[in-house]
Amino acid sequence: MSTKNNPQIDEKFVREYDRAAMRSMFASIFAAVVTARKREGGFTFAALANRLGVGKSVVSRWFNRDVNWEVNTIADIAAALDIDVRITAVDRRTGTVYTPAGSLPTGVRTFSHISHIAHISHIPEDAIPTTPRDAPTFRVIVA
Amino acid sequence: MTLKATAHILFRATDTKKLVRRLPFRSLGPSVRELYVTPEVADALDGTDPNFRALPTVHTERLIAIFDAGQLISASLLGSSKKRPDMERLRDLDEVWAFCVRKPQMWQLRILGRFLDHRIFVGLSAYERRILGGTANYNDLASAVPEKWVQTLGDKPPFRAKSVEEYLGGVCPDVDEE
Repeated sequence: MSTKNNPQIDEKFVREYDRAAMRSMFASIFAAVVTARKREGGFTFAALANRLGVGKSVVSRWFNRDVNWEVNTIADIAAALDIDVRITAVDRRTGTVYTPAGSLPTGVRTFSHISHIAHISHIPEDAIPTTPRDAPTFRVIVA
Repeated sequence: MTLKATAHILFRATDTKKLVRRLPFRSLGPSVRELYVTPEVADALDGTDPNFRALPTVHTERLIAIFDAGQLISASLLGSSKKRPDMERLRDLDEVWAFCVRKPQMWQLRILGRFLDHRIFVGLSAYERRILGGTANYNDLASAVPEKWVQTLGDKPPFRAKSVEEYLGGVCPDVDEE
């Protein structure tokens, strides 16, 4: 996206974007689980709604709208789906990965491969090794 | 279509600047899907086209980002607009899809285009929803997509599939199955 000198891209825009992205992430995770459970058979929104003590229309709306859940609600949904939600954070500047137990060991970086195009996330150019001998431990995610 | 053939077509289209890869405002993770648009659509999304002064909007950039990241994009193969999917295959047209930004309600955006391959969407024209109007006018404007496709990508047929999963991949509930 070309946002150069676009006056509409201000702090408020960025803040709302980041919030929307976070909401979408949780919705997507839960939707992924729901989709898998439907394929396995026996899952219904009514059953999920029943476990959560809310109406079926509420649950249906969750997966078709942009919903701003409270953290407690996220925890309740995870419990109702019988899943654990695990969170990592990635430093945008350095690529350092953080878990609730702290940062991952130095040298662990993430590469993302997009079909035939290599895409490197958040890695400064001078951090990219030139020879295998120079390479620290890498975790490669193939998209 | 093989991966190699798709890559070749895209390389040619982007090299001749008939298409540009539309990347997210801020990446949400590895790219799982790819969005390509014409320079005109890119200008609209960037807000440099005077006909799209409302852009860029958070909702538009959010939808592009979650599309790119393979996250939740709802879709309809039956053109079920009332179910408000994020993407819908339009009725009575040959593989013409709408990428639907439905917020804010008073200013909605539609990017019309076709799938080139699994997880690869090509946006060929952009319209404010208000301009598209009712079904007849909407379809009339959307009917120009196949010709724009040929102008942009030659005689390569659009991708055809039988399920939302085959078109989109990632997390993509079919609203017609709910």
